[in-house]
Amino acid sequence: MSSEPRLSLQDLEVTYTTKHDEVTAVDGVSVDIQSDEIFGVVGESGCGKSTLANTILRLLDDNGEITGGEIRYNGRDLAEMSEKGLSRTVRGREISMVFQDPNTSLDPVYTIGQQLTETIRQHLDVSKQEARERAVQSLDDVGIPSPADRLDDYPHQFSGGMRQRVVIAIALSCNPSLLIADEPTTGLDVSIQAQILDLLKDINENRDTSVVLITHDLGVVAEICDRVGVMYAGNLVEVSPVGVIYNDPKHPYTQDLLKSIPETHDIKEELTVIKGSPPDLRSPPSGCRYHPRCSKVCSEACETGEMPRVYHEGESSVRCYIYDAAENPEYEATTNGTDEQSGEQSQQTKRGEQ
Amino acid sequence: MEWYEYLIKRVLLLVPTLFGVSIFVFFLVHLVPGSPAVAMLGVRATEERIAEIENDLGLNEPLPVQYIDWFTGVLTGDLGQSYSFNGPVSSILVDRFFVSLELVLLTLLVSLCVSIPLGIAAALYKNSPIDYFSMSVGITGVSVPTFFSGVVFIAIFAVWQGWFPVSGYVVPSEDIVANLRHMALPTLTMTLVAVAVAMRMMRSSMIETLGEEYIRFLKAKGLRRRSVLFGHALKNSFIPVITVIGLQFGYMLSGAVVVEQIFAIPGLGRTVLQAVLQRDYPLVQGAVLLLAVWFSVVNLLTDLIVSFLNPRIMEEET
Ligand SMILES: Nc1ncnc2c1ncn2[C@@H]1O[C@H](COP(=O)(O)OP(=O)(O)OP(=O)(O)O)[C@@H](O)[C@H]1O
Ligand SMILES: [Mg+2]
Repeated sequence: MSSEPRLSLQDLEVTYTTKHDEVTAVDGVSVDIQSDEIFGVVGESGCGKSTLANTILRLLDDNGEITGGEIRYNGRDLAEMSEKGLSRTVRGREISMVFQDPNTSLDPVYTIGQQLTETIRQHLDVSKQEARERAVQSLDDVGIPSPADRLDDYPHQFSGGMRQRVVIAIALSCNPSLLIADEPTTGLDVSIQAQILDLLKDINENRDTSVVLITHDLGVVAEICDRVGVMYAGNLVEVSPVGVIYNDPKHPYTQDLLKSIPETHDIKEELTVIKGSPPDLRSPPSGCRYHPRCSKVCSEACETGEMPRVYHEGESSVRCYIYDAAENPEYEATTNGTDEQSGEQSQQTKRGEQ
Repeated sequence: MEWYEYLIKRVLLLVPTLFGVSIFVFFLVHLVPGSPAVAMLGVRATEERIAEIENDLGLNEPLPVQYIDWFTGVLTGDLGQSYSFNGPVSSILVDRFFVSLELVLLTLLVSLCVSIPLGIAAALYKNSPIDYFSMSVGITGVSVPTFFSGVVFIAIFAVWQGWFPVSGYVVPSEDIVANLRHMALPTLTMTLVAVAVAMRMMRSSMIETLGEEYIRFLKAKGLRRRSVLFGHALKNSFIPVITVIGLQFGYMLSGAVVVEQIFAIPGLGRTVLQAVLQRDYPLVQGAVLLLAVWFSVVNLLTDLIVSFLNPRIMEEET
């Protein structure tokens, strides 16, 4: 097992320019996506999850732009690659995407067979006949019954759940090594949701495909993710293994988020709603972006200092001054933290063991 | 539903529509004040002479009887005799129809060649010089009345430069080159309006399509920009444009009346205008019926093309 991450985001910053102002929707996001893992990204609406997802393949809206950082994939920086090179070698080939609403993800005027084979023939040097066979296989893989007969159907002839399967089939048709799914189950009803999640898990286990799963549903995360990144106001405030997120969340925001969600809520605590609302990204608060809502403000730096840097705590990385010995006098007492170096170390070892 | 079932259904629907139109136009025409006899004889005709003519034309019968007379004729292909032109209504209409049809087809051809590429370019390069250029063409096209632009074109291209004849019409079977030279300026005049509408529609439709999520998904699949734009976005955004073009196509046949008048082209619009002024009942009725058939056929064709391009539509109709 190589310890080389499959995808590595470094200090990524994305800015939307509108008529009146600029919105930095993703700010200072660094994270490594490992081979074969399902990495969940959670956070409230508007915190920049979709922006982050779209940035990786550079599919931002026209007014969005990467204003800093790197997207390292396979020794290349996708942020610097040419549009043409991206299309030819990365999009749909190495990295695929699935979007939230299956009803709008497919072109209504082409059959799903056409939409599958055009993808296959774009990336693989196969004949029309072979492409068609592969298309049938792809549909079969995602559990579409009698796939050969459905190839010539149009998207509107499928149900919502089946349509999302078709979308996933297209995304997987060229065996990508990374699948980014932006809330792939949000529009679907609960039983279909579970099926689609099973499908993603299955894909992750049976192929060499990492999955980045964006969701606002912590229940979904608990079910299938290996590690989780928590986003708040454009920052990735915590990255932890799923067990840590649920049992020993590091960032005060993660803690509050868990307390506000019924299905993950234990009997021991009252269900609470996080007070206040997320900040306006046009003028984010100074210091830590969560400090106006945080119940654990520990130093002046939280309110007026720089944005906290990322601290490594066990297997987690956290953007919070609580884990800074210089700012938080109680640091040693409240945590069993390690310094940055060994934090990095233990994370690496864990990956190595897997 | 297969496309031919759809076609049959639509054609059958035409029958009650046309029947309704025939009743409507018949009574409308006859209830408008003014007598064809007066129009024929002039204002100084005597009462008796007028009564005599009206009697000859069968205008003293009760309206329903007149209608049934006329309509049974229509069913056998006999639209009656024109009061103001010599000859049967049907042959007059056929001649005029083909003159107008040529003008409309030429206009459509030229305007599509200009408006579609221009609309696409304006959508792809939003807020660029080409977008502003197309916008000014559009605004000019819809806001300058044809009687003005027509006269300006005559002044520039016919009188001053002498490239084209000032007005008139030559039958294409006689001399196709002369025919096209006579058609050039009327076509240009009508094109200016037609371009504006189709181009604006193409632009907004293309912009809307490019914002669709499936376009992002197509890019995410790694499709080349060319396939995304011309394989997918164009097909999708052209569908609503077809409907608009169809409407224009249907409407222009009679809507060309001003242009036909300026350029002295013996087209359908001009004939209808004369017939109305002359209270030429059979000709007006026949012409309106012809226009209704024309409009329905164009509409049907448009819908067929649209549902052929977008299979979801035919399903919704069922
Ligand atoms: N095209 C755009 N122009 C300007 N601002 C944008 C644009 N797209 C997104 N934003 C802003 O960027 C921020 C992040 O949006 P994003 O869609 O990434 O959030 P999200 O976490 O995916 O939310 P949701 O859960 O609702 O999908 C929001 O404040 C949003 O208003
Ligand atoms: Mg989103």
